[in-house]
Amino acid sequence: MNWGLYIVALVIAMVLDVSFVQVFAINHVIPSLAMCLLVFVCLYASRDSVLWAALLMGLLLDMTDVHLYMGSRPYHLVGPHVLGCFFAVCLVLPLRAMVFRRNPLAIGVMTVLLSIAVSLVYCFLWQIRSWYPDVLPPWSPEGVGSAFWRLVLCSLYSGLIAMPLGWLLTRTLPAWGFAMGNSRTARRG
Amino acid sequence: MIASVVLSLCLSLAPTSWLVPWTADIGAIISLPLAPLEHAATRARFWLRPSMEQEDLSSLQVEQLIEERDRYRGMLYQQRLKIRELQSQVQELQAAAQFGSSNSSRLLIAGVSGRRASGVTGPLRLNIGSRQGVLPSSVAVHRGDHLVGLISDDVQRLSSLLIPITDPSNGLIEGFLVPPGTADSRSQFMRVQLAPSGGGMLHADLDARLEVPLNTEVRIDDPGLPAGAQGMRIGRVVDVSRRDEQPLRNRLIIQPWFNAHELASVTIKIDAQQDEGGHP
Repeated sequence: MNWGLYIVALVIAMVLDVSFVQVFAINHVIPSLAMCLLVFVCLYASRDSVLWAALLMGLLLDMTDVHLYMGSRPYHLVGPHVLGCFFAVCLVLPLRAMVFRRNPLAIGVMTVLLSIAVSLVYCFLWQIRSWYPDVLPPWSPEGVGSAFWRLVLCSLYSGLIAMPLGWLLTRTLPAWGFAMGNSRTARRG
Repeated sequence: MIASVVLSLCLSLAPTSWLVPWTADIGAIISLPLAPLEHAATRARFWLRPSMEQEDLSSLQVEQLIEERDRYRGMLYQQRLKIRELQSQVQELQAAAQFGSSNSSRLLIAGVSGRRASGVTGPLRLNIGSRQGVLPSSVAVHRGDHLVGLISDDVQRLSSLLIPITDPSNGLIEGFLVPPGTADSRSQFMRVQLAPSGGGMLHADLDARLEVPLNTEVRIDDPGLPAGAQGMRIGRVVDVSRRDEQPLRNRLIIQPWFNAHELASVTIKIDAQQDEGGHP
């Protein structure tokens, strides 16, 4: 896998996620382009590359996710996204053999699954941390249930966005330098 | 790889007080090269989808006039609160000294460059920092006297964090109600305690016998907030309903005039008292 290209794509996806995708917001539900990128890598890269790519993406997501301690002291919690992405790709990797990788619908469905898995770990770890003194979970004052439901909606939206985005990423496939084995791809023509 | 996962698990469960000193610095280093890109992306976002309040403006002149009017109105309320405080003090000279030093402040325009990728809540990153004179706990306003948030304690050299006023980390906020059409009356305003209720809204509970019309304005009067925030507008009452758990109390739902997450830029107000460090 071309790691240089992955890092560039990751930075672009992160920047767009934190600053631009609100343009697509529907009642506070926003898609995640980073999840689409991770699914794309997950479908084509080797197992080890996918796991490292997931850890790197999780780390960057955690380092852009600012939280507040004692009212106004900012900090970053390394873990919820790192473990979430790792868990999600472990879940999705076995499924990639069952889908047509070039099919945009498959990319969309996989994005929904991956994004929900990330959200599950994220909510779980933050729920544990909410029992710590002086720690407010990111969804406060709402409950974890409503936060998870909103993340599920965001996942569905990400899946929708992933279809055209996945199709575009598939056009750039030669540049990524994936070791293409005997993968299942959609029959063309 | 397993070591990385185990390390992440340990970090994710580590005490917050241990994470605070070093993770904020690493986060700032990571966000530094991303800031110009985020700023450009934010500008593109507001160019493509401007917020509602920006669409309403017909010209720059009208916008400036509205801002000026709102700023002076905010100062008016600030001064009223100050006057009430002065009246309650016994030593007149001491009160007069405080009154004299209350009003001057320095304004800085800050662009919003980034926010959480995981949602539409939480702190926002601004593209100016201590180099431009931003100080911790400064007040962020929009259109003169609409309070949108506070600057966090950790101000970086080139960036800072804005905590929206509706963020739960601010805790309870004290304010007072100004019913529509009573802006110039000298009647006693009703005091309320505002709490975040999620979705960028606030709520307050009030005695059910007190009648609160819709669109009643809510302004800040909280000794725990900086002097520059006092008397500023925070929102308006959009719903009043009886509480089932406490039938003698009504719950007011307060919608902020401006959601910090919907703004491309804010004005940082630095009080003269804060500014003693001698920033340019």
